[in-house]
Amino acid sequence: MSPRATAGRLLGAGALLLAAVAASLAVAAAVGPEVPEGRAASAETRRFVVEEIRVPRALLAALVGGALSVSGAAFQALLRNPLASPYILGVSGGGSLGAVAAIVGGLPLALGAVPLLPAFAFGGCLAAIALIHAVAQRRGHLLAQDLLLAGVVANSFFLALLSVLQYLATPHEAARILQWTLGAVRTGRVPFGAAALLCAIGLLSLLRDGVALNLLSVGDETAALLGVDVAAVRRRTFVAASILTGTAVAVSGPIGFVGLFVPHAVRRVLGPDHRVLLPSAFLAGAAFLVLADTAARSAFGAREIPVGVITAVVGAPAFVAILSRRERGAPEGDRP
Amino acid sequence: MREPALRMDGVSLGYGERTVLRGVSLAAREGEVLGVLGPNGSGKTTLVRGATRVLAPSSGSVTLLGRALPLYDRRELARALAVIPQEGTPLFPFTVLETVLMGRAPWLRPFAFEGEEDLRAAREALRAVGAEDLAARDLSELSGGERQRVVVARALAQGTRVLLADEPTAHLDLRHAVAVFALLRELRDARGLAVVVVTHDLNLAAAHCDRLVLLSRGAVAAEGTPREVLRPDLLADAFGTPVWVGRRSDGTPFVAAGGGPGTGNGTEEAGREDRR
Repeated sequence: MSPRATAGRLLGAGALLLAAVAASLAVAAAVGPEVPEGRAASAETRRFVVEEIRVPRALLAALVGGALSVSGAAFQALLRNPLASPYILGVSGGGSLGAVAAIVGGLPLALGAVPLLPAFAFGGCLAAIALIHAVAQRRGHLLAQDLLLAGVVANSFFLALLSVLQYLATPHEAARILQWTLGAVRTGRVPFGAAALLCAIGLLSLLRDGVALNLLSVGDETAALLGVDVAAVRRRTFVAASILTGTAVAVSGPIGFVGLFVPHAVRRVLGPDHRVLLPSAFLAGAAFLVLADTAARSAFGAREIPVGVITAVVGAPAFVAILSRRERGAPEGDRP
Repeated sequence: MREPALRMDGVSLGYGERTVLRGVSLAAREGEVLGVLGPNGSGKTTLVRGATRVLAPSSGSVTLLGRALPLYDRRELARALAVIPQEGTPLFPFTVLETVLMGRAPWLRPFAFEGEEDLRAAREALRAVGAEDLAARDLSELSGGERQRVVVARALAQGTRVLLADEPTAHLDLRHAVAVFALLRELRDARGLAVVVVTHDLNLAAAHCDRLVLLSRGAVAAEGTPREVLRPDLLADAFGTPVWVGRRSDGTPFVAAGGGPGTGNGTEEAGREDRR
């Protein structure tokens, strides 16, 4: 693929995917249970439902889907592991722990009209990032195996603490905890602007290192020999991808499979160049989660099911299909 | 004589307390292929790490194109010195052309895509290694020999005057190993590069390098032309095993472990063979 073709591929894919996001938003705005019986579905009510409920929720779903997909792609390069997901290092575990601790600890979950639960969750994510970074750091380097080890251990630790808190919780708190851990896109929980800003910073930081991420996927040594400050890029990538995960978790709780299979699907179609992959994965993940969330709240009438169920039901078979097709296509076996 | 492109002066180098290289000096000039030989553990890899600034010498200095190595920033260094590393294939399915374009990374600005000049450099590099027809292929589909040519092309695309190859024939069969050395000589002639090849293949080095440096236990045991360095006594001492050295019809030394053809034992006989 020539450089011009690469840039062209980004533009073409970007335009198509933007259209897909717009289409998914339109679907999300149009679909949903009708306004409850007994109240006249006036034009005013309809307008309110679309503009104040469906569209903000769809935008938030787009942000979360995009953030998780970019984060997954970045972790896959950082950890040199195509099976890495945004949750692999326990950043989300830290976020859930922050949220659940606030629920069980009886902390105020809102300050006036401002909900505080996402803030606690995001705080938990930041604490997890700091902890994992401190443990995994060896002579200034965040090596893949050190990160994985620290992250997997941290994740188990957080989940254990989470179990203790769940055990101690009152039935009322337990219901709240369950609601949190199932994951759902809910507006009004978090200021959209703040979440969007965090995601933009994370995405831009990763895009700036796009070439470096390509080189890192060849190997740290090759990257260093081609002028990359490997330690700095690894640290930036870890922090940026974790912030994206943390933001998504704070907004919606953990939603599985998006960050795992969207990067793979995009890579299959557009190739592995991170300068193309990252923005495309953001848009593809955004469109995917908007549609999944729309299905979650409308497929079973007025009764909403957790969006994570939809992403897993669609994502798991899709992921298997991608992996098995890759095995037939390219000889993975002779790779070290 | 011109200033050497890559020079090490009395370099000592190691890991923490353990010193691996002791007072190593060598020089590679543009237009020559310098072979660095030595048994496992003699310090070849450590020497590469010193030349590429992965490790800083505890004493002595490394000079690249007349400038002390610590004065380069990372990207400048990658524009002056290209390395053919011993590293596996990438995690993701990059094409051959994409891989060669990675050699242009030290020339790219953040957020940028490669331009026409980068593409020209990559295509020229592919042509130089005879891999133009592979450009669109996935790197993981290639054979070991083809892949090594692509890695050489990536190093060429960096546009440097100095090329350092670290065991470039380690996983190649005879034909492909010879092809890699022939390619390095070609680059010396066509582009006037200074080429440093670290290898433990004595015979390929004998046949293809202009000068050799023999490392033994972290120090330079011999330096000079292949005839001067590939002596049975020096090799036997460095490798710790009897070595026989003969001559090809063109006078190139030929090395084998143990006694030579028709001779029953090791170095003594071999020494006689060599002097004949």
